[in-house]
Amino acid sequence: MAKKIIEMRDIVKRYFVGTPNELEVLHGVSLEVYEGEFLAIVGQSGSGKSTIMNMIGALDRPTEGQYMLDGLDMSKIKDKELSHIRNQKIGFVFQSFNLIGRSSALANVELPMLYAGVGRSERRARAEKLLGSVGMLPWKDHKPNEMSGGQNQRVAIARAMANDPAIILADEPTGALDSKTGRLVVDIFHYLHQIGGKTIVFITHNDELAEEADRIVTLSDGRIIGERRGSVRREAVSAT
Amino acid sequence: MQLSEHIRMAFSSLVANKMRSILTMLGMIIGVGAVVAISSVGNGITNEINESFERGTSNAFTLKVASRDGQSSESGFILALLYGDDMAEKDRINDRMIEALRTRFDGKFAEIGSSVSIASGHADDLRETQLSFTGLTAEGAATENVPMLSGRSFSEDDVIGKRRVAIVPEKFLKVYFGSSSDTALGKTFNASVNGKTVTFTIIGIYENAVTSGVVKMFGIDSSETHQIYVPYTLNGDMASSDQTVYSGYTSVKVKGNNLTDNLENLAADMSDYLTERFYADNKDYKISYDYTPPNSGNMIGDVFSAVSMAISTIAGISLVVAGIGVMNIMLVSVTERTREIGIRKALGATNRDIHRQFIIEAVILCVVGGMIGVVFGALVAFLVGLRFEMNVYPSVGSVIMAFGVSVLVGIFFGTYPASRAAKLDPIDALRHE
Repeated sequence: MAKKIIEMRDIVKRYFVGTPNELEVLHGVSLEVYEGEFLAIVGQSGSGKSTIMNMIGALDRPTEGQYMLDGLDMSKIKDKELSHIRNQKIGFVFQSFNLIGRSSALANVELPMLYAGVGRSERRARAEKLLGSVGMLPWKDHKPNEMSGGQNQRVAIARAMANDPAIILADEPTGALDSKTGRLVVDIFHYLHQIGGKTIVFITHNDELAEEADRIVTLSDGRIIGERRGSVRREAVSAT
Repeated sequence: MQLSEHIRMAFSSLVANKMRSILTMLGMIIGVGAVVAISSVGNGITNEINESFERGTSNAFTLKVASRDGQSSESGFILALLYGDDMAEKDRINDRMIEALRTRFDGKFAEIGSSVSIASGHADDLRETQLSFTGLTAEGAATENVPMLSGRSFSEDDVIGKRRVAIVPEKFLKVYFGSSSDTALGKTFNASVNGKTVTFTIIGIYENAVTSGVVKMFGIDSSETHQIYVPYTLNGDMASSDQTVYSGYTSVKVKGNNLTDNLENLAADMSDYLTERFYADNKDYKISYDYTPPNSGNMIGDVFSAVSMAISTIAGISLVVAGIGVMNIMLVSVTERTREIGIRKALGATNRDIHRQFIIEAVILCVVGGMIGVVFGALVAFLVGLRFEMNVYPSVGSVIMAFGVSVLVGIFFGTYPASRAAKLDPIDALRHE
């Protein structure tokens, strides 16, 4: 089997530690994701999906347990290095796109490269190439409010790919889209996975789409309650 | 991330909020503009005052006949006005004494000369053209700092020969001949003095002192009377019949040269020398001196610069108000853009990146505002200068200071909002609506 890119051991996450409101959201989650895998995490709202996604995405740190991301022990890492890891190893795709409203599609795709210190011309060339790969190059000068939801999400996927991350982390990426556009967006993930060889962690509560993943992990009440293979194999088609 | 990228990013976010940015800058524009305008006009006025005080006073001193009981000849001057000049010829400084000074202090000074107010009159054909005649010795034009434009000053022969030659101001030529060119040299004019008509040949033309706006403001412009310089030996010819005319001077002016290291010492040596040699058996009078070191005794100028400094400082307080405005807007901006901050952090922005972004936005607001303010203030100062015919310009120092203060205001008032932005938790920020 391929190498483990994510390795979580007995992860516990508590909020408001030391106060009367102390709240344990994850009660010892162990999860492994292999390089080149398409993993779906499903669960009801409040099951701890978002918490685990923040943890995987290096936005948050576990209270207890060990998390190894691409060989790095995340519990021993400083804030500044966390920024660097988010920049280099993670590509976020959010439900609500989270593009910067006053910037063009191109500028949005350039942003992670800006923080990575990539030079101007290289940044531009790469951003255009990425926009082309999701079929959005003709829209490069449009701002988010001048594009449809599906188009925004495609730009967001291009942005997630900007620094060629180890993992694409998608949090309900189809949640704000109609089923047809959602289909299109998921197809882009299949393409990135099958043709691009990317590791994809796909958080959703759409069971139908989850079935297309290599493996499905079900989360409930802060624990993993099930794990199975996906039942549908969807062949990748080029987005463009 | 590079600074230039930060600056580009800050500009784009400020441009996205044009109206707000301009309104925020307005505070800086007015604050810096006020400081620059006030300090420029203040400097202009102070310079004018200093110049008008320094004109003719620097690098020279006066030797004068003073009474031995401590009263100077100035009180004598008032008496002279009332009862006629009563200082006897034996008490006055005469040409023999001046010759003695020249021999004794040879090479230690540049010129020694004297001026005597002779009489006033009017141009013969033009009764309204008031003339005031001042007699000069051969070197008097130099010691009195007559600003010669063309022609020559008086020679020894002019003075000894009592030649009827004159050095006249440029403005007089305009009035009398309707022209001011060099062609006036050698021409003659008639003057009516004490009931006599005297004809003078013009040998020199001097430049009228620029009448400054300050002088006009204080209403002490006396340029309507033309000052005509003639050889002082003409005083007898021009005096009225009932006036006793003495030869000699009550005071002489000595101008130092570049070898003169200490004018005051020279003044003391000269007056001591004259007193010992020529006034030893004069019970009433001796020689003393007046010397005003440059840049001193000019209280009006000092007071004015202090006042303009004080007003500038008060105007500077408006910069603090402007800075608070900047801070306020930056805090609003941080709150408004919380989600954007979350996105940026998720994409790999460090706390330092976020901090810089907001600091730079604040500094740009202040610096751009400050630069517009400098232009605006300079414009106001220029218009004031135009209105009062003054030489008003913003000093480099005040521009640099305004600029530096703008940067400091930006950094100072931008720090708090920026650190608030930098400290935001990315998860909370991303959840923010």
